[in-house]
Amino acid sequence: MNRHITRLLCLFLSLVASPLLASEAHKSIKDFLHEHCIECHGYGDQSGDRRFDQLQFDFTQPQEGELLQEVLDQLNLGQMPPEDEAQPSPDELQNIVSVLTQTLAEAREQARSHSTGRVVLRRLNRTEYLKTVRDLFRLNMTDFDPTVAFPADDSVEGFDNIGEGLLTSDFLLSQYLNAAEEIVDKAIRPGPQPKIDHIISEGDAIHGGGHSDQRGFKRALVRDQFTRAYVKRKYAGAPADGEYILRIRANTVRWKEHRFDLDGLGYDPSEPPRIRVLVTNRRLGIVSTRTFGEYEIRDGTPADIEVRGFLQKGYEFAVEWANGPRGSQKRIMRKVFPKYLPEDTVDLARNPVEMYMGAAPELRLHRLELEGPLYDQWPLPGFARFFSDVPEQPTEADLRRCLTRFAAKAWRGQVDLQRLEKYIQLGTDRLEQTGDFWESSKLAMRAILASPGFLYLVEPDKDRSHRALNDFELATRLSYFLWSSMPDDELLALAANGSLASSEQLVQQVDRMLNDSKANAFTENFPGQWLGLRQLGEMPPDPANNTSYYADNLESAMRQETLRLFNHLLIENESVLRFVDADYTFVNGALARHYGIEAVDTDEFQRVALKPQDGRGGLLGHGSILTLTSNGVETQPVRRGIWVLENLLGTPPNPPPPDVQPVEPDTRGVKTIRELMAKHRTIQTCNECHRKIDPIGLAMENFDHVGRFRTRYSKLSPIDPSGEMPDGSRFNGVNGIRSYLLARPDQFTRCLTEKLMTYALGRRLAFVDRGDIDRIVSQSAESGYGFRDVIKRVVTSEAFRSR
Amino acid sequence: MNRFSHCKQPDRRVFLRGFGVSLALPMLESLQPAAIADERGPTATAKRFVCVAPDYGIYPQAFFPRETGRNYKMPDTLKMMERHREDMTVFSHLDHPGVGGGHACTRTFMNGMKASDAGGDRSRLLSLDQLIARNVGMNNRFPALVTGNGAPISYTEAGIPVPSVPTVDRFFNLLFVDEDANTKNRQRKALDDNASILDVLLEDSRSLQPQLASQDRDKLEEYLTAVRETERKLVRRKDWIEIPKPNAKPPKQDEDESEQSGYPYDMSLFFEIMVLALQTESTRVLTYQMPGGNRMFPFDGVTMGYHTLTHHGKDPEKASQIQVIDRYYLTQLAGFVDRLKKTKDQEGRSMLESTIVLFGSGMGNASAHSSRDVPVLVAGGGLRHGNHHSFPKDAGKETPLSDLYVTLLKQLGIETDRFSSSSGDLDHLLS
Repeated sequence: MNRHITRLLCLFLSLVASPLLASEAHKSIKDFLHEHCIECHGYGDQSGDRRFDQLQFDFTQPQEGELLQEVLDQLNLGQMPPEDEAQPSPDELQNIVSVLTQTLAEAREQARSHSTGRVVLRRLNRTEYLKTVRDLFRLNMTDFDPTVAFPADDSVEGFDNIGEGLLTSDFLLSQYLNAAEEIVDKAIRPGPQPKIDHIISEGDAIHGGGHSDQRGFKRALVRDQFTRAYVKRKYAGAPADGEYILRIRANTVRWKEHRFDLDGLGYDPSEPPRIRVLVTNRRLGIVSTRTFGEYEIRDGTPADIEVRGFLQKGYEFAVEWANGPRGSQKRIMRKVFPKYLPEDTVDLARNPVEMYMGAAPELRLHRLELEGPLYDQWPLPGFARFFSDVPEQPTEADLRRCLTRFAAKAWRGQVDLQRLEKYIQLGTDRLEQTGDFWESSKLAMRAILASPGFLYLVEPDKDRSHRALNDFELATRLSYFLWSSMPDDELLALAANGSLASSEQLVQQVDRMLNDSKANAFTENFPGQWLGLRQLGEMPPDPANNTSYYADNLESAMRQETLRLFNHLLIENESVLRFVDADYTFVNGALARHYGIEAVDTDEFQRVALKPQDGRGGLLGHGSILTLTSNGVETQPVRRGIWVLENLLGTPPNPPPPDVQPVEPDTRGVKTIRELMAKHRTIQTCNECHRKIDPIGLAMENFDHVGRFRTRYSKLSPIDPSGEMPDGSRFNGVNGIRSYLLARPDQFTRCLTEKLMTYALGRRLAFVDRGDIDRIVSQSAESGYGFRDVIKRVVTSEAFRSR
Repeated sequence: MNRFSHCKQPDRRVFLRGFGVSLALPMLESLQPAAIADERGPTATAKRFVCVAPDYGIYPQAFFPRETGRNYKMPDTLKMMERHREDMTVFSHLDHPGVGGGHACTRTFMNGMKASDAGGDRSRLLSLDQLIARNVGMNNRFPALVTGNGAPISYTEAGIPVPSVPTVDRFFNLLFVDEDANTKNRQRKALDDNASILDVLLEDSRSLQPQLASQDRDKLEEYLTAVRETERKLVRRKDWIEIPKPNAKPPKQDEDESEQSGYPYDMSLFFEIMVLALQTESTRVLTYQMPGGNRMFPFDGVTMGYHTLTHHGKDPEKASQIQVIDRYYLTQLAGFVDRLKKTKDQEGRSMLESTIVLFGSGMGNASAHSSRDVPVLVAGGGLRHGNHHSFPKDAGKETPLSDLYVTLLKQLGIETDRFSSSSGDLDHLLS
């Protein structure tokens, strides 16, 4: 009887993740221990120095908690009870493992929180660090990543901004020190504006490119023969960070008309000729190289092209032929030309490629011109912010003033003067020794950038009391939620005059912040982690059998589709249920082809209307989700089922017990995946979770490992996408799952709210947050489930505004 | 053209970028580089440890022998090691209990624990090599080095994966190419600056700590530990700047492969440099991670990506292709063991005699991405070899892989009776 209750409780638990009533849990633990353990670990006998008869059932006490953890570990490992003793039934085992797991989780949470403040001191993760540096110094971060050697941040509950998962090692700290040095060197640039360089190269003076021509241009017949062209042969790159203008004069000749057939030359003359501008650092090579843009030129008359872009010191522009005839010079000479001029190519040594000039399409590069660095403002805004009033002969007082100003921003408005003094001292000591104002400033700033006040979101709290955040803390929490960065001047100003904390103001700020381009931090990082989009591409399909996936860049298009839906719902404040089912989606031509739906055939993304029979509305029809839940080779129904349970229903299944053999796939076609999984479910411990996982995963089988629609595995084996959930609901295919989810709108909304809340708070949710979540869900249900409204409710919740 | 020549370092930023790894690697306790007194007990016959680990395991049917004991027959893949039969031991049916399958199991090879199972106590993730390094490696320039491109399998005491030196060039430069005088000066200056910064950070966090709630205080303690540890390492790092790196010739690629470059052909270069690193006492602990991914191996008979092949689903064509790759791995391993045999250690013994080579993977049958029955092979290190040991689970009792690790630790002179999920040791079979 008792077992039955526990079991029901377990089910209830795994469905709504609600905490067990402590007394019930304790009773089942006690019963289990008495039945299976206490004989050897009790009053009479204390095998292995363990005894359970003295448990006080306060698992927040470290000794008790650890003892209980041991019991769980032993059960999980199948090592206890010993094999010559009576064994618990699979049912019983499953139950007690759930109860123990849950009890321990709660005990840990309680021990950690002492009933109130539960935010664990949060370190900036890599993304946040980078964006904070950008905003603190107003730096252009293109091609500049001081975090490149930082170790990856760990995720907790699926998010990489959770305090307890963000560890600090000495390795990371030494990276912080290196990064700080790099950053202040970039940002602190006293003195006059660097003088503008103007380099003009014509004809031979252009470095690289194709062959020189005495008429004053570089020329080339094939793309591969036209190596990258630079303004100068020996050039250390841009002399200083700043904007530069590149002017190019180039044209092609015989783009359309020449004597060779097109197959041999491998290019498409129906499109206009283009050149490609790259940004690169010659010294760092390929890792530093990226495409800046492609530009059309004309056949015949030279065109002048002007581009303007930001170059980091040491970087430069380079020019390539984007779409000329392809192939090596050798190949063209050996394979293509002999077809047309057999008698001339008998002796290759006597037939240099120049002989064929005048016969084939050709690129001509006449002139490259570079001008810069140019600045909208000097001194740079990120420098002037702190050092606008430094006199010719700066003194210690100047240093003190500037550093105080800097710390106020770097520490997000929370400056403890006493603690600041140590940093100032570091600077003034150096100033005394060397007399070098800038070196001294930089040293102190480096220290501030590695200080706990900068690296952690500090919320001092001596007496452990549950308290409201002060305005600066609130501004910080809000800006790291929506911008993954520090509060801007407006937020800090509102905090300073104490007017941020009202709900009206917060809601107003959410709107302002979401409309700012910095909000892309939220619209990428949150869905990237909630939906697992970041994992898309980790198990890429085999290139040989999935050519269009690569040729059409489908991976990127799929990711776009999902992010666009996310953005759309956010901007329009549409119902969050559109994530489950929508009668429209966003595709480009290639993705529409992949899906077999109608759209304008262009690279541009467009909103298209969907019919139910398309099966594509909402996340479950997105190629991104279908691909990232496959392994690149075949679909993984179990993974898909778990994905839905975790991310849409909010009821993640327990991890499998360790002693169960996984299903070994057999692709020889003897058995279908459905049959294999059915066999797996005959094992009782597996069935407990798989009866929930499998029906969902199998109903998605109509989509293959890259999200294409299919109705059969092979000629002889059609797909059966039907399923039945443990509660008796039956569905057929993905549309069936959609209806199943739509019939439970609050469950999906709760799941999304919990994910949002976790991300916003940077911590695991605790039992005490239940009230806020319940409120947000019920208010959403009353007001049409608007996505932006949900976010506003998160921000104005009690949990968000306090610690 | 010498691909190892050290390019000019005109810019400190470039230096930091390229050598962030080297700067941050744990360095040694004291300073005598090579001829240090052996502080461990006289019983330790093994002094060095190398782990070689492929991401996706080895196709089991062609790896595990049927017979046990001495005169076992080597299946096709294992056969590549035939000439080392007397210097190695093969183990079947060993694994880490409780880690569960999936890609994450690869990472558990040397610690027996998934990060998600550590229950918040990340120190439980400490891996075998790092534990060994702490005991036998602290007098070398690099207490331990991790190289290759596979999934991380080496974890520090703080449970943080150790970054790998990913390329042959960087690996060689790190070990054998001295920075020029200017760079060294800049390094000295940066270390001095950082030392004074660290003083301030320490003081500041100490005054911040009492203002925090208890769990935040613990979190800040993590930061304080990092500051102290960085300070400690900084001192050692500063000393090492003054000691020139040993000289070594860059290795050359085998002639028949000289046309090819890059992975997997550079595997032999990695192994070559690993031998040099041991020989010059630059380090005593090495881990080489062989990468997974879905790359196409440029071998005859291989037409599909590596990951695709591992999901062979018993398809005989895929299964035979995966073995082509596995055989290449084992051939390379055999070549590495050859080199260790040829090389003499400081005491004039063969390097293999005093070096434990552990080969294996956290993944067993890759088709199911299972963590059970992982491939394991141990060579050298003065252990009793020549056998195939099997530990079938049908008796209801299973032998954790960590039991083997306990014996390896003891062989290295590290007194312990447990590691990770061990339940005992395998001394009776190996010592």
